[in-house]
Amino acid sequence: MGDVLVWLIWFLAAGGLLASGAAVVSVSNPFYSALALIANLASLAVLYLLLSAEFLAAAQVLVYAGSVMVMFLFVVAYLGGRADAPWAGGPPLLRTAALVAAIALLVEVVVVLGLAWGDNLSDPAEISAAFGSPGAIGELFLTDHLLAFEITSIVLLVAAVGGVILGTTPRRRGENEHRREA
Amino acid sequence: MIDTPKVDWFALGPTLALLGASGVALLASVLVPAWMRKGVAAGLAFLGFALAAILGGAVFAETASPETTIAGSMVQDRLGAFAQVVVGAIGAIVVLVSWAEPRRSHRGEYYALLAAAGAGMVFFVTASNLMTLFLGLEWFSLCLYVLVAYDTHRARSLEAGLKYLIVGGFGSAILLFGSALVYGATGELGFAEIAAAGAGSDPFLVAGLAMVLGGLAFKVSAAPFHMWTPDVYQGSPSSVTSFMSAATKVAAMLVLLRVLTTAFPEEREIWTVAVAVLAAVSLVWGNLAAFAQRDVKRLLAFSSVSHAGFMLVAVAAGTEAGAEALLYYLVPYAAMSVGAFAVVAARERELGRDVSLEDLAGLGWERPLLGLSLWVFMLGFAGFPLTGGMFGKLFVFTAAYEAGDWWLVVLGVLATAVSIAYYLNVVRWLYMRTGADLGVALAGGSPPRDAALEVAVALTVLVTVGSFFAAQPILDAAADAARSLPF
Repeated sequence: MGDVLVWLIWFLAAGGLLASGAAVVSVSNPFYSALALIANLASLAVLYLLLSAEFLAAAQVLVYAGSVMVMFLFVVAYLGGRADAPWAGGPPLLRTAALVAAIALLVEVVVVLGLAWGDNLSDPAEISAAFGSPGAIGELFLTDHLLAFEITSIVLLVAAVGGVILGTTPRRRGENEHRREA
Repeated sequence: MIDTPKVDWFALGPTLALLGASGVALLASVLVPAWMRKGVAAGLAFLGFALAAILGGAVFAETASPETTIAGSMVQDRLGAFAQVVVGAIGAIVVLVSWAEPRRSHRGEYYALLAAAGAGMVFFVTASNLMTLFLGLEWFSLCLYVLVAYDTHRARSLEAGLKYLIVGGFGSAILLFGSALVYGATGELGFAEIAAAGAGSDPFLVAGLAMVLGGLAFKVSAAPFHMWTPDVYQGSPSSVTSFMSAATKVAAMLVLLRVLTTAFPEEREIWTVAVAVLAAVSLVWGNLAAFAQRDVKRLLAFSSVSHAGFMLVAVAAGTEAGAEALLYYLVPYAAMSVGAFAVVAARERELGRDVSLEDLAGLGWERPLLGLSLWVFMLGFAGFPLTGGMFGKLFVFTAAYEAGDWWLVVLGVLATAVSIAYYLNVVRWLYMRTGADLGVALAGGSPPRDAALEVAVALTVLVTVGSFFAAQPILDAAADAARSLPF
């Protein structure tokens, strides 16, 4: 019974993922595109949960659906949510490249299905119950990856400072200068 | 109770010195009165770089054999310390070069970002697992993206910033993808552990190695990954260019050497060939393209691509002699590179526009110190005696010959012969014509003497010539540093 439930959730999440992904690139209004991306990220979070990566699922929702999406929506609102002309396919080179990429993906899918069919893919990783749990990841932050964790905060800080500097630079001589100096 | 790793503050010293300087400079550029912001921030950045170099020297003196610290995230060894001393010295000189650069706003924050970029590089050279490698790279790259676009009123600077951001982001993504493949093949993040995992020639590991190599080749601007170099070097503020061309190259070259030798010793046959190909392409492309340039900064950019080629010849040797040659080469190269861009910066400030070869006309007579210095740098780049550039090339070719790469030696000698032509062309423009002949007019009269820049140029000349006469001590230090790698 539990197995059926897992499959059911998997199908719902995977279907939602595909549908919302298709919506992101096919909807002409960028605002709806951004909203579809939220659904996309949420479905992905469900898949992460099924892979027992609870922390990743929560971070996915918090960071992407929470903050990155808000930023996207801000940009869309800032530029005015005007609809773009529907994509006409781009230059021939781009179309060829897209075709090649699509064929490569198809081959990959066929290979994976073939492997699964021949039972060559049943090599489950041995993981402990705590794998991917918030506690285990938090412990890694404080032990093995202590330095990397701290450096990440510096990298983010540097990026924020840089963004502020570029964003607040007056474009014309004199403009803003007095306000800033005051 | 979580057992946290012991933090080795001594090994982190150079990084923390620069990080601290950056933080205080940032605060100072907001809190102190407007008229002294630039001075305070520049002074702090200078102190930070000098302190980082001194602490790097202390680490060098105290560390006999390499040891990894902080849960294997970073390594304390003489190779990293050597790079820290060089990057610290470069940064301090670049602060002097930057001092008189006309800047309309954010005069203090510039130095905070410069120090932060230096901190990133000083950390990057001690990275000893794939995670800190990527984070260190992103740390200094993010600072450089902003610094390149710093002159937001110049379209070219913004364009350069955007180009560097996109191409650099692409390079970082390739490095990250490669790291993921290496991790997938070995299940390890640490360089030494990857080597110990003994994955042999697992296709995922080899693909990962290729992508890591490609990602780092973007940063050292080796052809064919150099596409961003001329545009970015030309568009960014000249002081930033001088920093990038010297410090980024030093840091990225050393990390390239470290990753290849410590993480992939078993795959040596593969990567020596790959690096040799990169070296050959850089030598040919850099030198041929430099011929066609009229803009001095673009010319120097292609010259830096060709020098990446010479350095990679040393890496391709895959021997301790090659590592020594590379470390020695970096010292005069860094000095000449900072100095040459500093002279260009001085001319740029006089003329108020980008400097083409014609714009150099008469500089040798009008400003004897700068003219003579640029002459010395050009001869040094070409590898003439009385400059460290000569010994640099000599050691690199010797190492390559001993490793059996005689074809790279032939190519290197040919490239050197070709390069003499365009380097001497610069000298010709300096002295053979006067500015009055060509109507090169100074913008708004001759600007006041820029003492800070002249001191910086004099220092770089000193290192360029000094590394010829004092080659032995530098070579000894390089040999000590090279011994921390497992050959």
